[in-house]
Amino acid sequence: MNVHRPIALTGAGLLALLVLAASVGPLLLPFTHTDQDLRNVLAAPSGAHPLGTARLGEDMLALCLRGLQKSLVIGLLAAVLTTALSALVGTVAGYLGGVADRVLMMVVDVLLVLPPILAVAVLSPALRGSSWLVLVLLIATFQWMVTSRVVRARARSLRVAGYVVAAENTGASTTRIVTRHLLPQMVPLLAIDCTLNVASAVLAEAGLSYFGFGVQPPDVSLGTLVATGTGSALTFPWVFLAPVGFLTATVLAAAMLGEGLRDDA
Amino acid sequence: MTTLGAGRRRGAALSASAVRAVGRLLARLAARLGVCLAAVLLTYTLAALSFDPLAELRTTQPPTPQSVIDARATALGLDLPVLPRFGQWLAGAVTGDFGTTADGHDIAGEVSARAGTSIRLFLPGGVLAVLFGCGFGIWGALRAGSAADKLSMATALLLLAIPVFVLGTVLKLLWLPVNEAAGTDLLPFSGERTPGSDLAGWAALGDRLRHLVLPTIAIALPQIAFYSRYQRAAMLEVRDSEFLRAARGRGLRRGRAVRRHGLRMALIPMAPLVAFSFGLHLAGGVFTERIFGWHGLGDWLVTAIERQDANVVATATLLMAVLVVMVGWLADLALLLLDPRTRT
Repeated sequence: MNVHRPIALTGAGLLALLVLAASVGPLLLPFTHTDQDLRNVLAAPSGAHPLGTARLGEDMLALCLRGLQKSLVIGLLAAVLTTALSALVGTVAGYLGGVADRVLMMVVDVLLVLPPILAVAVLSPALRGSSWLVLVLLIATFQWMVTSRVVRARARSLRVAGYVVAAENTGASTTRIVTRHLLPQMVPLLAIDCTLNVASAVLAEAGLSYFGFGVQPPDVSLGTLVATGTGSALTFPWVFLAPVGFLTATVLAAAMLGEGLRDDA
Repeated sequence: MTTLGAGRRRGAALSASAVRAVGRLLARLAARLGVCLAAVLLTYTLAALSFDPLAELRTTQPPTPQSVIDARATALGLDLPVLPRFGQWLAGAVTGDFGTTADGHDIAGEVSARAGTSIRLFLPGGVLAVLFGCGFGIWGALRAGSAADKLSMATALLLLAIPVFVLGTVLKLLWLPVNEAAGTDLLPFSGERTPGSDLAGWAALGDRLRHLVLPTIAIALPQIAFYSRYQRAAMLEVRDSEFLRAARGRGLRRGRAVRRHGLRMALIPMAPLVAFSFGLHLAGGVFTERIFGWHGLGDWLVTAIERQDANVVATATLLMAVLVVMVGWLADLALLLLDPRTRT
């Protein structure tokens, strides 16, 4: 991992900027995301409202920053969970081999056929009114498969490594070998995948919210903002383009960081 | 005589390997169908757990008698556990009877229209995506490090960061001024064809093609970006390989060496990639169908989830899974043709 590559640095800088904007930005604005400026409804960008206003006169910038907050929190949490789950499944399957491996990989195969976004969408009617944390859990549940395959391949090759065999011979338990000897070896790989998973998780959340299956009103995320904006994209483009800009920047930043780290990992 | 005998033996060996290849293809097909069935079972189970088709009856005013609710539950098969219910549905589905929608319509009637729409939308976009994706990837790898390569890689990264549901609307937004300047819908935004028009023959085909342009771009662009990145990496590996250097050493010019020896090797990893990623692209296409008003499988699925209609969800998922299996199987076939090592 070389964090000094320009693409990785740009991605990290952009991501840091977005996190800063989402956490500090709302405090600096004269409006909250629910304040209604009813004399300026669906107004084009101006000095008072740099990104224009929405249907009820809400400031677009305030809305976007609030949505960015939610999207980032969901994306980061889901990515960490996804990576943890895939690390666990991948190492166990790769290290144990045999029946455990075959069963786990069969689960992976079946889940891979089912696109995560559709699986979560099908479950969404049962989730009406539950917290967004459930959404995080579900995104992670249906998104860990690809990384787990990569981890499994690495674990399989490490199974015969000298230090693993040595640990086995000293009588170390499977749990100890997996947690103390295999997982630490995977940290660089996992860090990269976690970064890339942030991008996928942010996209998954946005896609689900776009269909109304994700974050529920009155909560806003970048996905719900894009969804509301799509209807008036051709007449009041800023309502659509403002959240799109933030969403694309977030995904791009995470992807750039991940790619930059990956190329020479 | 000896040469004839040798020829015959060679022919026999070839046909034996052909038989093995066909056997392998059939085995792969069976495995893919098995996975596809498991995925449909999983979706059906998730839908059965999550949907509550009786919610509306329970909240009516005046209240619906319990006997009516029970009768409706029995009619929908809700008194059975999930597995037998899925078994019943599957037994019907195999014979072409996909059950009824939540409001009592026959599902089978809509299957071919929905599947047809999705195929008409995905086939051109998917084929273009594979062609252009591989093309750009190879083109970039052969001038790796140049400004053009860097630009195309940056564009691909940006395209992958734009969600599918944004891309469609952005395309509309970009094209709107052209349609306005022309005073007519040069490239229409919605549907498969102009509704209520009595065009026939070439005019009808032209009308369909004009409706197809923008959605096809929306479907193809992200896939082109996705495939080109992998193809570039695969071609880079081949470019620096020993066998290509050997071919150059034999006196082949670079272009000819790449075409005759490199291309095939660089394309081999793309076949499984296409098979593996097609499901994800199909899921992305759900948004495209919605945005451009194509009533295909994805649109059907989303509507069914909104209406909490388990039978339709299962049917749409099954058809999408079958599409994924078919594409995967084509990829198996392509791999067999590309890579002689898989034939032995």
